[in-house]
Amino acid sequence: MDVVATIPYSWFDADNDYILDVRLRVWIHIWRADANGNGRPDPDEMMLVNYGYNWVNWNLATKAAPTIKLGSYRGIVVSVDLVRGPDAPSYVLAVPVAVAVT
Amino acid sequence: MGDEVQHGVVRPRGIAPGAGVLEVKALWVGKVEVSMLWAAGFDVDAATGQFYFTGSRRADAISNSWGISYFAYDVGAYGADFESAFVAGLSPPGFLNPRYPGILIVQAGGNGGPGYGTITGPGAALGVVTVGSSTSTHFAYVYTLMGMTVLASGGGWTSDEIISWSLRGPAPLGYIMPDVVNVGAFGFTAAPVVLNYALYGGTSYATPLTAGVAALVLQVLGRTADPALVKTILQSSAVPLRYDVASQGFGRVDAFRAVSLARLLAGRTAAQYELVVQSNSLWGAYASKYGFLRRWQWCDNIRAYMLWWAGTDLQPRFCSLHVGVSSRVDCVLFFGDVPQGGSRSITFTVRSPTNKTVSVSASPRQFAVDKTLMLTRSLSLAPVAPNNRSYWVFTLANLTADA
Repeated sequence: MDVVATIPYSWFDADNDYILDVRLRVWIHIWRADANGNGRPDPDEMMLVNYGYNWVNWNLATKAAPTIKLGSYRGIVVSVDLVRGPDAPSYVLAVPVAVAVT
Repeated sequence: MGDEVQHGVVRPRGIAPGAGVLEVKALWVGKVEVSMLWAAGFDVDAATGQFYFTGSRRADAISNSWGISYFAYDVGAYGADFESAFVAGLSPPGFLNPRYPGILIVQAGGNGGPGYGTITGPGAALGVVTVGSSTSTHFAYVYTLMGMTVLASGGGWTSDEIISWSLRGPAPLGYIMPDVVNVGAFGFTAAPVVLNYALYGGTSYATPLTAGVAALVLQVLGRTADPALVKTILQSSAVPLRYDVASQGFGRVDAFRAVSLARLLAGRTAAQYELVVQSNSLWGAYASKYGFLRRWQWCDNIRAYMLWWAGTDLQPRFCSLHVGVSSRVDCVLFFGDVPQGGSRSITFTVRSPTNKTVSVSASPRQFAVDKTLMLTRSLSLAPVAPNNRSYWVFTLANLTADA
């Protein structure tokens, strides 16, 4: 499983001053079980599997053999963080994030 | 012991607690070659500046947590460059001196991933054990329990994935790299700071871990073991992580399996039965195709470099690859150039360490993209909000079964 998250370059460095506005983080977790029954994966219900490092306006994280490694656990959680950079305006509105899961 | 005290050998507790560690100042330009030669048992004639082999204080293995990632200072691509040619000449027995037993060099492949072909020099060299980085998220579990919920790993931890920044192969000359991977993202280690430990990572972390396993293997086989044998043991006993070979090589180094294989090859018992795969196709193709580059490197470029930077003279016994080198073994199967419309054959050996009967089968494996799911979402940041997270849950119902 390859997870690639991308934002348009114009959001990464809107004014082309070589100081980033926003960047991405990508996480892959295994959700063991919905222990508290709230329907959401909570931090104490998950195991970190892998994560990616931001490269300009994209980020890649991988997990091999997802169905085999998932086993009897509840599911695989793919998370994408939009992270404030040093040149971000106060409000950052509606950054389009495209996530390709292969 | 006197020799060890003289040269500052220390014996820290760790993956190979019986092994001594000899620290050698190496960086920057002009130092690494001299340092490796010194650790490999060479000295310099004070009158002539000529390097010669003495065997005194010779280390059994060199662990190199450095590499050249962003520039190449000669005409060769990584693998055929100056530094790669140097370590490919230093690792085999006999090339620099008939009495020289060679030395195992464990080399960090670099943190330039995830793109394919991001192997660096001299990790792309033949003869060295090039190491990539796999995961162990134990640190995330620990930190989450300490309240760092952004890592969200309070339910446990996992291992054996390839981290995004680990180098990917193949080498520019076409053969597969890395050779193996080991934990490099991340691990706790002793450190002279307040907590007495710190979190470290990188292929620079995975490399000494692998060198520690090599030390365990050498402890079984003895100090005169051929570095190529030790390397093929590490490769053959590695655990495949179900990544492609350009990402994982032969897989994650497994100390138990490696030592088991070494014990069997030494005629001793082992709890785990292992096989070793060896082929001379990599060295053979290199010798036939790139011999001219090596000849130029060793008898022109390297000598000039050593004279310019270190004021020393280093003469190999042969300018070209000698017969022994072209028949050296590796686990990597390499076809070299296959002419258009033509074919090429290579041979490899699956060696069983004892007379036990084993069944071996081989089949081609093809990796294919099953499908790509495109997801989109708009994320905003409110004032002072550091981040905004969104997530998707995949279950067995919407995942494609793995082969």
